[in-house]
Amino acid sequence: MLSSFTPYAGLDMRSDRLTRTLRSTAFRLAAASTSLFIASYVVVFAITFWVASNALETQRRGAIEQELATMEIRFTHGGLSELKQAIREEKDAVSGFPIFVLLKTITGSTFGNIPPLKVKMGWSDYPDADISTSPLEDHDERMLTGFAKKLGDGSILLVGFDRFNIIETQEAIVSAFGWSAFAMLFFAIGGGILIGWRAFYRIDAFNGQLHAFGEGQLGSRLSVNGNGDELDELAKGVNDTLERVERLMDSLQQVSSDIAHDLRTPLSRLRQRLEEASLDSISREDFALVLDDARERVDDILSTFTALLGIAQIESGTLRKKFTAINLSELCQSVVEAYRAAFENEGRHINVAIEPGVKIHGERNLITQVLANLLENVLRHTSTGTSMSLRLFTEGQTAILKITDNGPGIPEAEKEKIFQRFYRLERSRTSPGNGLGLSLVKAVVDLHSADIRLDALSSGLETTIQFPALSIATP
Amino acid sequence: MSYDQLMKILVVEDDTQTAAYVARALREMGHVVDLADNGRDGLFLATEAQHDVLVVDRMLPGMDGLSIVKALRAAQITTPVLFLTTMGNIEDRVEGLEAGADDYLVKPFAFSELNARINALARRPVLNTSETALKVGDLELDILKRAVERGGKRIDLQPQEFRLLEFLMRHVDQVVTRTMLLENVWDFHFDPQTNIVETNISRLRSKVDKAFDVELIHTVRGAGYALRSPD
Repeated sequence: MLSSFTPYAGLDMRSDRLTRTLRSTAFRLAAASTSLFIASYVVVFAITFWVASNALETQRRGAIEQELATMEIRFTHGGLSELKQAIREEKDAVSGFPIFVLLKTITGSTFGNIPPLKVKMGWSDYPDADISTSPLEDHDERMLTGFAKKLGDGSILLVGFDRFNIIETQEAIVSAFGWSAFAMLFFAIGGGILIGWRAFYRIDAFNGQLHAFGEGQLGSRLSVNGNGDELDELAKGVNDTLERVERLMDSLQQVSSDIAHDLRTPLSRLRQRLEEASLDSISREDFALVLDDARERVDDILSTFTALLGIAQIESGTLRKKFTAINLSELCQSVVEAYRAAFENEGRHINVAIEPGVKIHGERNLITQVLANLLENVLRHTSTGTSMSLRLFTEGQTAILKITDNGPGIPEAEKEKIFQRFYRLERSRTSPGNGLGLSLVKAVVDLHSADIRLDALSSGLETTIQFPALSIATP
Repeated sequence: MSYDQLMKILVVEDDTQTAAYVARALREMGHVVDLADNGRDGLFLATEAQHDVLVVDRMLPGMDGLSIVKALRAAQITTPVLFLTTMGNIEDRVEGLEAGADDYLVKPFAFSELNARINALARRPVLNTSETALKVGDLELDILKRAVERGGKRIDLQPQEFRLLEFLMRHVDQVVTRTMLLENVWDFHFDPQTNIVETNISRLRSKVDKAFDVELIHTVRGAGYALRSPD
C-alpha cells in the first residue's frame, strides 16, 4: 500500500498542512494586520479607561462636595439637630448612588451610617471603613472614599461614597473591551487561517497539477477559478507555458519517431550490404563495390543527421545573433548562376527578374541554403523542358521572393504537411532526397520572421517568401 | 599523387580512433605526423616544433581548439591551421575562422578531403594572393581585366566560371575537392543535392579544354578535380 503513496497524496502531507498554512503568505499577512489592530485596540482601550474613570471620579467627588456643602449650610442655620436631620434625610435621598456620612461631635459622640473611624481632613481613602450598610450587593472590593471637613463648632463631618462604584464601571469597561478583543482575535486568526488555507489549497492543487504534467500527463493544466485574481493570472501564465511545452514535446516525439522510422530503412539496407561483403563467395571486385556502396549509404545517413542537427540549431534561434544586413538581390543572382548550368543542361528555361539592392537582416549562409533548396526542389520535381522563374521585388516594407515552376505542383491537402520533417509526396518517395529540404527552408524562414506560402497554379507551383525588408538607412 | 609534397603535420585530437585513422592515413602519404591528445600538449608542440600544418579538433580536454588557435595567432605563429568541427554546428565554423583558423573540416570526413585541404593549406604561403595574373601552360588569366586567354585565343567566361577557373589555377597541380569548390567558389557551406560542381566544371571544360589538344582540367576519381600544368 505504501507504494501507492506519492508525495502529493500522502498522509504525512496532510498532517503537515496546518504548519504549511501557518507559514503561508496569506496567513502571515492576516497575522500581521491582526497584531497591528490589537496594538491600536489596546491604545484605544487605555484612553477610554482613563477618561471614563476620571470623569466618573470627578462627577462623584463633585456630588459629595455638593452634599457636604448643603449639610454645612443646614448646620449653620439649625445647628447639630438640623444637621442630624439632614443626615437622616440623606440616607433616603435619591442621589443616584449611595452616600455614606459620619458626624463626629466635639463631645465625642458619632452619628451617621458608618461606624466611627479615624478621619483625615480633605479627600481621603478609608480602606478599613465598614460600609457594609451599602445597599450595593455584597462584595470584597468596597472602599470608602470621602471628604472630611471641620464644622463651625469643631465637630467633623465626613461624607463619602463607595469606591466600588467606580471600580465596577472600570471592570465593565475592561470586560467589554476584553470580550470584544477576544472575539476580534478569534475572527482575525480564524479568518487568516481560512484565507491562508484557501490560497494554500489552490497552490496545493497547482502543485498536484504541475506534478501530473511532470509525470507525463501533458494534458494537465492548472485550474482557473475565473475570478481574475493573481492566482488565476499565474495559472493562465503557467498554462500558456505548459501549452507550448506540450506542443514542443509532441513535435519532439513526432521527430524522434520519424528519425527512427526514416533511418531504419537505410540502416537495414546497409546491414544487408555488409552481410553480402562477408560472404565467402564474394569476389574481390564485388567486395570493393559493396564496400563503396556501404560507405555511400553511411554518408547518406550522416547527411540526414547533419540536416536534422542543422534544423534543430536553426529552430533553437541562437543563430539570430549572427544576423547581418545582407544583399538579397546579389545572393539570389549568385545562387541562380550556380544552378543555371544544371537547369539548362536538362533543357529547362530560367527566367530571372531581380530588383537590385534589396536588403534583409539575416544569416547569409542560411538564406543561401534556402535558395539552393528551393531551386533543387524545382529541379528534382519537375520534368525536363519545363521552365522556372525567380522574381525578387519589394512591396512597401517587405521583400518578396517568388519561385514559380510549371511542373506538377502539389495537392492542396498536402500544403501544410510538406514542411514536416521527412515528409515526402507519394510520387517523390523514390526520388533522391531526405525529405528535410523544406523543413530547413521553413525553419530558416521562421528564424528570419518571414512567411512562406505554397500556391498551386493551374499548372505548377508558386513558392512565395515575404521577408521584412531592411531599409538601406538602418545599420 | 606524386606531386604532393611531404610535410610535418601536428594532429591535436582527443578521440584516439580518429587520431589513429588520421595519423595512419597521413603517414601512408609519406608525411611525418605528431600527435597530441589534449589541448595543452597540442599548444606546446605547436610552439616548440616547426610544423607545416596543424590539424586541430574543436573540442579538446585541457584547452579547446579555439583557444589554441587564438594563442598561436597571438604569439605570431602563422602555421596554417585546419580546424575540425562536429557536424551540424553552423556557429563552430564561423568561430573557428574568426579565431584565426585557415580552413575547417566537418567530422566525419573522407580522408581524400582532409588530404586535399592539408595540401592546399601547406602551399598557400607560396601563393601571392595579390598576383594579378595567373599562368598555367598556355592558359592565362588576368584578374584585373577579368580576361582569360588560352594559346592567345580569348575565352569568354561567366563571373562564376571565372572564379572557378581562378581557384583551380591558384591550386595548380593540387587536388581540389567538390566541397572546397562549393565553399570557395559559390560560398555554399552545405551539401547541395544537385551536383552543381560537376555541371559547372563541365561547362568550364567545354570552354577551356574542348578546342585544345592538351587537357588541363582533370577529374581525380574519388577525390575531386585538379588543374594540371602540362609536362
